[in-house]
Amino acid sequence: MTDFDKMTVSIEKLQANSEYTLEYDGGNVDEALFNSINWVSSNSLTWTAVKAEMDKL
Amino acid sequence: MALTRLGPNQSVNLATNTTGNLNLASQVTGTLATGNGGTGATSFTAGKVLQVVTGTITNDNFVTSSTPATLLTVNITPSATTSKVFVTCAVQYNNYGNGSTSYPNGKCQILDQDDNVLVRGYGNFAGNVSTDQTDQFDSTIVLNNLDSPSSTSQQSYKLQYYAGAGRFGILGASTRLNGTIMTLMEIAA
Repeated sequence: MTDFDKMTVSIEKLQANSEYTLEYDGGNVDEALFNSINWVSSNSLTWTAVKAEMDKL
Repeated sequence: MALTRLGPNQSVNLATNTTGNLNLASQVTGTLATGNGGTGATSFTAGKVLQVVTGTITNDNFVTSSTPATLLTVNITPSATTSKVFVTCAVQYNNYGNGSTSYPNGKCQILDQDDNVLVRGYGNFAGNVSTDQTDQFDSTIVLNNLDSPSSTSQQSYKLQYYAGAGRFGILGASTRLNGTIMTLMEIAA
């Protein structure tokens, strides 16, 4: 599982049924990428929480 | 005026050895063979490609939403109201369970100037075998449509995508460099 996959899986775990679009150029999976997410559904997640969940995978 | 009659296998270079105007509207017959730089054709019929426009996805794009999102817009301005526009789009896609489904799937579609859906493709992965629902599946969808806009105004064609379950991606970066491309061809009536 790539870091990118870990990020989207973590979002799903923490906030199920989240709806968003995201453009990824293959670079770093970091707070900047997380902040670039275009949320279709409402979002209350923070990068800190998502990163902590990623580290468990 | 001096005249020279050309015999068989004789030629004259019209680029340098002529003056005045040469009327090609009549008295011209025959076919210029392809071996001599011609087309080999004695006439042309409808169906010629008049112009080609392309648009390319250069990044990887992902969606978890069931709301269609526009990824790419390509414009073309037909030269005649009778022209048709052949739309073709090769879409490299990715299905991912995203930890939520064993049946990730998504759709992509092309819309015309008036946002009518011309053609839709479905990417479905019903073979997710891992217990954590994180298997991946990549493939390609090809969307084709022959549109008749009946207009000489600019026409916009949009590529949209949306997820049915899991995460759906349309790809164009790195190992799929420029991997998703829409091509518009104006075809003469």
